Amino acid sequence: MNASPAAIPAFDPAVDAPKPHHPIYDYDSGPPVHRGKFAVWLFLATEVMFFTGLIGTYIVLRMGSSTWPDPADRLAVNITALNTFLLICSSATMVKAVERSMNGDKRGLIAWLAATVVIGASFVSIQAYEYGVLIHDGNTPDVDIFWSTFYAMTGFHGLHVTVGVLWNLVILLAAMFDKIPQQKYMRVELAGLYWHFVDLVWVLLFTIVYLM
Amino acid sequence: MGHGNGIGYSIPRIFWILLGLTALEVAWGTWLREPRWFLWSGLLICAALKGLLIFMYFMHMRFERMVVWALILPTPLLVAIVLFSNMPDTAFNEDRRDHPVGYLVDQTGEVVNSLDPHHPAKGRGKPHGFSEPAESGGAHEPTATEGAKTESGH
Repeated sequence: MNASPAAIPAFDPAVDAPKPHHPIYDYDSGPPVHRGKFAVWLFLATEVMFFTGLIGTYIVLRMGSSTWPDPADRLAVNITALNTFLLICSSATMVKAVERSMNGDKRGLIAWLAATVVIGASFVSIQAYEYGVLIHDGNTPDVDIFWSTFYAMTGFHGLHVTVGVLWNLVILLAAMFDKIPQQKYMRVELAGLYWHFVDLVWVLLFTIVYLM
Repeated sequence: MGHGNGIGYSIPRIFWILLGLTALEVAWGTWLREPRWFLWSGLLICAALKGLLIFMYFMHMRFERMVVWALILPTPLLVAIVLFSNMPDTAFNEDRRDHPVGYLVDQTGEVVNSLDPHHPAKGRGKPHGFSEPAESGGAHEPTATEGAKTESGH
């Protein structure tokens, strides 16, 4: 007597579905804030150490010198005061962009973000002009310790501003192509955190390098 | 969220305060340069206030959870420890005070003024970045001890 072939059992998801390789918990073990925000703040913590290291070196070198040139004699304070004004304006426009993004206002987001990019690019342009004039006058970083520290601090800051402008530009393009809906406003806020940090560093640099 | 804009504070108010502090700072740094302790303390207070406003409001730290504070607070503390532990060996080391800034020791061991325009090989810089230097502006060639008097000390 031939045994009838066994019927193929129906697919039972409870039994046959692929098993995850790790247990699934019903709670989130991550940080109690948005992961992106956590990561950016962690990054900013390293940036604080980076810039404090640069500024700290400047302070140590300055205090260790028997004399130090008056920055007003060597640097153009007026033009950098304008730059400070620009960066503060750009911080305000960035906050407005974040606010518009939170409220789902795409046009507002694009307008304020574009303003931030333009103002940030203006800052970098003015700094490039300043460098051009200084270098044309022979004030290169190897002339003395004043210029070495000046270019090290402001140069690294300028590099950060450039990165910030590019970051904001990417966010702007994403917003223009509808890639940043209201529920993803955090992308704008993260770029904003970095941008405000760059502004904060400039506030300190302007005071310490140009005015003191 | 008293302002109903989702941000939680008045953006124009913070902006104008920052702008006012910047104007005050520039005026202070331009017209109140003596005595130095007065200049420095005024400028540092203005800068600290501006930094605090940006940190607390624009960076939203006033409304942030403790975990973010825990991330950021230790870093300046660590840097301060490194800075002040190095300070006695660098800033307060009398050997570093031999030559004023602007002076270099060349390969032969001679001390030269790198800003001296009358020295063809060594005068490379001008003291004024955006204007022609005065006749005596870059030409002073004081000794190391005189340099401390001619350029502003700290």
